[in-house]
Amino acid sequence: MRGWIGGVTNGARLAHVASADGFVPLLVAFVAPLIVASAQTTQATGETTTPVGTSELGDEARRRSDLTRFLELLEQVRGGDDDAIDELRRLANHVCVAWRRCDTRSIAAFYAGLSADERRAGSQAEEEFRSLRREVAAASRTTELWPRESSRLTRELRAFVARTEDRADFTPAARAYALLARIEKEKALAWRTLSPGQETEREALLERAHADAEISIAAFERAGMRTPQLEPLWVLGRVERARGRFDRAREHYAKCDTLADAVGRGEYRERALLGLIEIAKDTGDVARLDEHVAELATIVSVDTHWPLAREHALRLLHMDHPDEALEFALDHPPVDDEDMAQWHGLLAACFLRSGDALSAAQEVERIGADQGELTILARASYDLDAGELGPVSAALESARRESWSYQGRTQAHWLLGEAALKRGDAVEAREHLERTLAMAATWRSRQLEAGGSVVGEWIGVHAVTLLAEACVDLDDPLEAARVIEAHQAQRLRATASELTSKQLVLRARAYAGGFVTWSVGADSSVVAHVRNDGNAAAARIEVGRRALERAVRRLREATLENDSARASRIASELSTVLFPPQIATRLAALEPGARTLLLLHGPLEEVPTSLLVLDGKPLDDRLTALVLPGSIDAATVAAPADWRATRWTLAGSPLDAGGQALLPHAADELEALAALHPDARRVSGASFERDALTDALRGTGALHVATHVVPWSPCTSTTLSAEGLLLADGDVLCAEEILALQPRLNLVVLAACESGGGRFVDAEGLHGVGRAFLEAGTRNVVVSLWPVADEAARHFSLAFHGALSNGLAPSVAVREARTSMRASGLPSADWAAFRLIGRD
Amino acid sequence: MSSSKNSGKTPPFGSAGTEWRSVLEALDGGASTHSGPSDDDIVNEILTRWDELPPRERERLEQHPVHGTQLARLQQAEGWLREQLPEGEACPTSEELYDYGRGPGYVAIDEGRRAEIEQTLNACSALGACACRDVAASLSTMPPVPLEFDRPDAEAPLEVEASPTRPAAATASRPRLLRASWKPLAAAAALVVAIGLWTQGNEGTDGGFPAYPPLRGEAEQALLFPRGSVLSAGFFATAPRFELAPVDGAERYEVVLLRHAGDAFSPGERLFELEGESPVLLSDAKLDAGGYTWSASAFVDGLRQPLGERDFQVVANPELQKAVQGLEGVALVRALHEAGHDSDARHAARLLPASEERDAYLAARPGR
Repeated sequence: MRGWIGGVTNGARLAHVASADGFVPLLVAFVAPLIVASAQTTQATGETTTPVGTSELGDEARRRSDLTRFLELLEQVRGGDDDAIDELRRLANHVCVAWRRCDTRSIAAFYAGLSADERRAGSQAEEEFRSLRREVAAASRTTELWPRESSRLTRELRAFVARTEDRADFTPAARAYALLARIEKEKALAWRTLSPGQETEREALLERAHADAEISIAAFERAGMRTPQLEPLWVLGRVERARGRFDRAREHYAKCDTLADAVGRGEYRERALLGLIEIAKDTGDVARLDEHVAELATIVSVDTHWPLAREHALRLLHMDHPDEALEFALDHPPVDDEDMAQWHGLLAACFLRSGDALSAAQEVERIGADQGELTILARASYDLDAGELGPVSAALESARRESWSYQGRTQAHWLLGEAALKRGDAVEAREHLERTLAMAATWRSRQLEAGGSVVGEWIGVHAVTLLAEACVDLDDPLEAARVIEAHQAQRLRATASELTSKQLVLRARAYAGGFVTWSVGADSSVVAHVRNDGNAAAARIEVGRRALERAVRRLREATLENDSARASRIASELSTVLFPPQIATRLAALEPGARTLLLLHGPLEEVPTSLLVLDGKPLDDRLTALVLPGSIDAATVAAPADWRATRWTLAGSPLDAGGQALLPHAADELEALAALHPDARRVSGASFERDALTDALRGTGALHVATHVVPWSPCTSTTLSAEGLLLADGDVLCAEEILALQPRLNLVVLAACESGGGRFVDAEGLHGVGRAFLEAGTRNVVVSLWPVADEAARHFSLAFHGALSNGLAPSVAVREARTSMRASGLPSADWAAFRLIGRD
Repeated sequence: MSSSKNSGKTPPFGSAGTEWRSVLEALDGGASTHSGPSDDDIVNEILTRWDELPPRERERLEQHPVHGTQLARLQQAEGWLREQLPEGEACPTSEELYDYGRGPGYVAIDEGRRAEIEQTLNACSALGACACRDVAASLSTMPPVPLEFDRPDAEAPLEVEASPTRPAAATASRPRLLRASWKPLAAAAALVVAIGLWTQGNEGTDGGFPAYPPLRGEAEQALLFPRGSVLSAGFFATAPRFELAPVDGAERYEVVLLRHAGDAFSPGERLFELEGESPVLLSDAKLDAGGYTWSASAFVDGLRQPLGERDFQVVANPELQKAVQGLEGVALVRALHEAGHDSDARHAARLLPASEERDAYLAARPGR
């Protein structure tokens, strides 16, 4: 099953939607929405009222009345009436104080500073400009006329600007600049396919649009006018996005959004947010995407705003909630007929992913002859699911993909690869899928900050899994392992995707049992084992992401509910799937206790591996499992240590406001550990402060922390969870602060709640406190997968440190601690949570 | 009280039968109102089944300075209940009236029957006299003090109110197990509540409500209850209540219930969905033994926010059922909680009158 068209949008369509009805908004933009009676007056300045949602109708009426009066007076002043200036100023002050529209003061000051003749000249120029703008609006509605007329009107606008921009009232020229920027931007973005010459011309147009918009903004700023800056700000956002300068585009859109909010121009907020949504998609920044979509929903109704409804439904689909996406899409059909094909395409994708091929087929039929990107992809997804592989290739190959969005083109290669794989042509499949991932890598390089993973968030790890499957079909298991590792958890490596098979084999040699890695795709998964001698095996797993997520969740829940029989049954089923016979046989043949690295990706990162079984025995009884969320460069982490000689810092046991220990067993724990490590530095109770912990993080050696991991909203990382370690006096050291301190310790024990959890970024893994240590270069981190009971944490810590003091490696010590707790009859909820993330 | 209580299933005063005499003796002369949780249970049982006491022991109880007052209230309540008994066959039964009035643990009445009852009551009200006059009147007069129902939802300030819930299109009929002990008078359920009030009062200060163990932190959880195991007979499974952590700005919530085979991977078959404005959604459906998954969403500004999924198992656990038989109030809550049946324990706790301890228990979260 596929239908993963989530994340794909028709850029051209959205551009159209964003610009509403072509140039019509251009006119609307200069008309105050609330002051109907004085619309003409408003056009004179472009200033508008703030349609605040006040429930005080009396206030609102007075506000409108004041603003209307202000605009009338302004018109009088601009017409040369000096007597109205004082009243205009007084009213401007009143409007500023009463209605918080203080731009009225600067506007009044600007015109009051001009002579009557200068104002009259400006007013006449304004009239001339309006006439030109009407012509532009009319021409823009006629496709045939527009290319010729736009050139003529551009020339006329330039002439107008030349005549008027040096006048004392330069605001009509500023408006003309804004209009020119808009025309140039539209012309530049109208080109879908470009010859080399056109590329140069397009760039020149964008450059001119940029320059004109900036001149316009600067002029309005000088005149103290805020509202007229909205249009050129929005144009700047679009221009910069078209040039791929996403950071600048985001800045302009954000400014446009803020200004529109301040002056109450919802339509510009809408445009700016749509622009920000597109940038978030361009850059794979899912967190921002969700934020902007949610923000847009606060100003428009999702019931009538198709772009918003579409984005939200696609997002649900992308998160693999097809039923919810379907229900939502069915409840929110587009208003315009021209969007219906998109809607049917979306429904087809939802039905397909929900397993309802018949309904999907009906929706595909309803798409009709529409050749939009989304609909072609939906049709191809359906054909692929139905086993109609010929039409898939034909449709996608013949589609004018060069005019598609980058996402759409990437998806096309993915579908072609999947079709080839289904046909049994693994060579062609590999070609398409490698291209898919190469495109994703290019995309990734565009990312401005490390907030997301394009491979994971947009392309989906499914493409990685399919490529690994192609490698399995080509009997190249080592390459399957390389593909899996190269395209996941890239943030852990400086070399990103440039991971070679040779490097992989070298890494396997560090462990007696080699390493095992998995890639979890939408509908299937792949597992690969690379033995210590470099010999590899790989197998396809017929279980996809949702089912694995479900199994992991059920295992965790059954464990936490102390339902051991159920947990055992689920663990057994899960183990059978994760270790198919080809892999299980190899692992069972290893020496008992062999150190084996498990590279857990996607939903598997949350698996309590100690509950898995191999060859009928608990995994802990067969192997010493080390866990990592991906392959890490050796150079980026601290060097291995002699654990018996390592100096410890024992930290934690914060106090409450009354000076009592928040975690009674944490205090006991640190006390007992101090006996084991007599030269350890103690930082506990009231002294467990930020500075003390920071010092420890900057040092060397090992650190044991017994405290709470707490959600903490002041932590603002876009990547890591908003959480941190609870210190004395209720202070919290955020995960991002830990990362920023770059602790390169040998070993950190986080005897705290769910320290191995965090925000999940697909293809990158869980991002919380534990991950912060790992990314910073700490070699080994002992974490818990769920909130552990205070007493159980103490029990584990003592057992672990005891084993470590006996000279065992951290991975073996963790296993020994778990095993001893299990042997003493403690429930698995108490011991299965602990794991070592690291390499010893 | 009706003799049907002791219908041969259990000896008088159940497991406490050998101890009640000594407890009564200890109570002699007001020596103690309660000497410990186990004695409290026995005293409560004695009070509940006072009509089965031999005359001498009953007299001894009546003379007790604390429990004598409680007994008097019980007798007063029972007298009131007897007065409300309907005469005519066409009148709604007390059980139906209870359901009509939607008391705790009520069973939804179909619309047709509801309309009939309403018609009867309206007729009585309008005519001033009818065959069901007494029945109708019972709805308009307040019962004596101990019988005043504490509506669990309305009086749980620390809990989120359940909102009107849109139920599944097809809902299964509910079992009557929970209410079997309340027959023949629906209002007898009030006695359970009344007894619970005393029980809670006693035990709340001595042992009290159970608590979750301290953890090193707390996981953020959207789907709170149900979780783990719930009993197939009685308690949660007879009145499923889905509790979510409130979401900022949510205008409504939706819960979907699926039944699955209990294996690791299967998604399950959709049974029904509920929606409402509150993060607490109620269902009328009876849940049979088996594995269930519930998923939930919140709607903020019209956008759906999937909140996740959680499993629970409806189990027939005869041992636990037997163990909790006869337990009331906090003791029952504690027994269910300690057996890992948090959802059932909460159900029992909600039937108790509001109190600081009860509300604190209902507001507590397992943390993982």
